Amino acid sequence: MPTAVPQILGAVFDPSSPFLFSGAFLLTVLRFMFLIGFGLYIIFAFAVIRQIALMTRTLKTGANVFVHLLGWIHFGVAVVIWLVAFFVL
Amino acid sequence: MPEIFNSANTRVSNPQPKRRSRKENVTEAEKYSSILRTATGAGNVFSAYCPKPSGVTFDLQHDDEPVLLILRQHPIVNIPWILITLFLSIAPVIFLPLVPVLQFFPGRFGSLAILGWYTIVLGYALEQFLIWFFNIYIITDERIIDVDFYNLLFKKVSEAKIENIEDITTSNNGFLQSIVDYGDIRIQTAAEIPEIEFERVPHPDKVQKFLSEMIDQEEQEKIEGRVR
Repeated sequence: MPTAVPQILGAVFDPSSPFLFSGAFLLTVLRFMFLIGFGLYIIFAFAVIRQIALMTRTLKTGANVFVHLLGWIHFGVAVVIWLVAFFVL
Repeated sequence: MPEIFNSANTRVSNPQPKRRSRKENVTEAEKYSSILRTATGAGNVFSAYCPKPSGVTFDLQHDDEPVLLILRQHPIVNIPWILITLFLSIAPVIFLPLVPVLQFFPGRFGSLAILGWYTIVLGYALEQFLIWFFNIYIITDERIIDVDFYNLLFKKVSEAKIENIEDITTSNNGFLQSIVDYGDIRIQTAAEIPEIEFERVPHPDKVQKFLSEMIDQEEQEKIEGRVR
């Protein structure tokens, strides 16, 4: 991943670079888009956890542990997918 | 100086009425409410019609204020988002063979895109469930409270005292609401918030009767000077 950054920057600042017109450039951009997209999703999943905390403060029931668990599972899935994208792509 | 003017020796006894516990207040409410008397204690906190819920409290609750009835929208209102979730879950299986957009990319990109898709579907379902579960209407022996969470960022809590209720209107609109027995209850109040609406709640007639019993009791207490 870190080696891709100079390649992309080089291609952007040098339009004649053969890298700019290669499939590798497209895949590198795509890789960044995936990471940014999944990163934004982690922020959303964290917002859901904060919202669940607010909701369970408003109404306390026996199901609050279950609801908290759902939120943390969702957040965990979002983090795992970002990590998978980081290491696999 | 006459003894009567000597305040130091005078003990003014002003006995405060003994405050009842929440449980005692539920028992008291059962005496005047036929709806509560016939209802069994609801252990299921996921229920949309939950009389005398055990172990349920809310943040604005007074020390001696019991929750007598909790209402949510009827579970049938969840069907649209459940169907959407099911459709979104099977959409990749149906549409990807027809429109092979992911075939242009290496396999790992396609797999991660599908994983991401299912995570978004999970997030959508979770959000819809939370909005249904925490949008509640609470009836205590003193007031009615409407808690609304419209989305992740917006919360609204409206409340009105039982004694301020002026008019209650229930409506079952349409075939499904009549068959499944759910509908809207509009409660006009003399409070700052002129109207509170319980939307698509189960057994609207029972709820209306329960509120009428509460209002009658409140008026009786006012006559007897027992208003808390």
